[in-house]
Amino acid sequence: MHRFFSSRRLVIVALSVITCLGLMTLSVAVRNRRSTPPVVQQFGNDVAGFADRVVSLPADGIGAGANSLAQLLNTYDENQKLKQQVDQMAQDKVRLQTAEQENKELRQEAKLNKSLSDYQSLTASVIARTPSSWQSQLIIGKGSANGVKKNMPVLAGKGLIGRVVEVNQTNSKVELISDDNENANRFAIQVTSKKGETVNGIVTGYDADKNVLEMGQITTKTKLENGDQVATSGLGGVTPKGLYVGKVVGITNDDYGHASKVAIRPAGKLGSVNIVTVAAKNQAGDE
Amino acid sequence: MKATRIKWFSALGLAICIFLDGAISQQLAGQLFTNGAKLVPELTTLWLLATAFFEDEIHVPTYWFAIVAGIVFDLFYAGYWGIYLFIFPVVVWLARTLRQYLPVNLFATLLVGFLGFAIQPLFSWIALRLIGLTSVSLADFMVVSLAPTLALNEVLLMIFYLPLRKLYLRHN
Repeated sequence: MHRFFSSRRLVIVALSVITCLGLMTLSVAVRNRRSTPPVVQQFGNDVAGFADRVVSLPADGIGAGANSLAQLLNTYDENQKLKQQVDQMAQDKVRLQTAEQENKELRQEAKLNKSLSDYQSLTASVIARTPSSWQSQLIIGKGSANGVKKNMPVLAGKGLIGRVVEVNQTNSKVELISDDNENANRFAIQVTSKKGETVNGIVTGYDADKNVLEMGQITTKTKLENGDQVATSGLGGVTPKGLYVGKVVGITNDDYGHASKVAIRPAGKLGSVNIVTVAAKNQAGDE
Repeated sequence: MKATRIKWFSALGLAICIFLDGAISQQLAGQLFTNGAKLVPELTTLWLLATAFFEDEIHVPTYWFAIVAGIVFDLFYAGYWGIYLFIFPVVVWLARTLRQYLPVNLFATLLVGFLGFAIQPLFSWIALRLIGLTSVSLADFMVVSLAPTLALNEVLLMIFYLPLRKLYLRHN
């Protein structure tokens, strides 16, 4: 029986461990610093993305079939509810149009061409998800060729779900707010209280057990309540203002009665997402 | 002639498994990745293990397969280099080493599978802890990720054992 660890094998193992650790450290640095990955990586990813579409097409078909079967079962209930909502929608739409028009006129009056809430949306299909317990990442089928840029916020379902972390030519990676990476959920947000007052802050963490985002370190006298709406504040970075994040579901008060930690239930769909929207902020002098 | 055909078959199967991992994770994300249990499909690991464990006299270049699979996983899925590039060759090495000591039957295959399927979550957890991308504790890792993932993939291996084994036996 040969020895389990010959000296030659030991050297090979040691070398490969060191090489892989080096590569990992290097790639973290590259990923944090640069807006696009190296050309070789981009090319590899574009090829892989193409191959993935070929393989995942039947899988998507089966998934869609199963989904529609499940949806068929509660169609009737939903239909009743939706009918009521549609009536409401028509009214809201008219109101929105009027408000938008008024907003535009007022902005012209104030000579404000670009505001924090201006953004263009790009719709992209999700082509794969990282098969890992820790990295909650989606690979979406639009890349720099379609105008996706690093750090753009991504929405699905009703609200914000994450941000773009890597951009290739024809596909990009989106890190969800449920990702373990501590930077994944740092969004500048704004809570609007029932009285219309706003509290600015930053998402400081994500509690996977409770599925809530935490907004900490707040010192304000504004009284916040459960059910208050949370949206992005548009301050700093490329995230536009007014993207819906979720609702307040819990407030932990400190000794002085100021809200110090707010728990927010995200409105975005973090599970099986097939279509996402990338929100691109219109920055002054961008066009 | 036959040996060449099965080599191409293994390569094609591997490529399909690599992308199926991502497609399954994406389609069934709501069911597979809940907060209490995370079941990661490891079809790529399964395919590599089965190829390395069953190949016998065919001499499939399993190490090269593992390296290619590792590169695709690192670039396309993880976005960090060097994680799966390390994991997959270790998985192949494990299967090839154990093949010398174990008989090839269902029980031995499941045992090798158990070790192989544990390597992927274990090493990727260690790697992500090292570069500071996760803060999951050991206890959480074992209960939430490792155990459910092992269970899912052992069942998959049990299903795939017979067809794959028969295929490699026929070509030997």
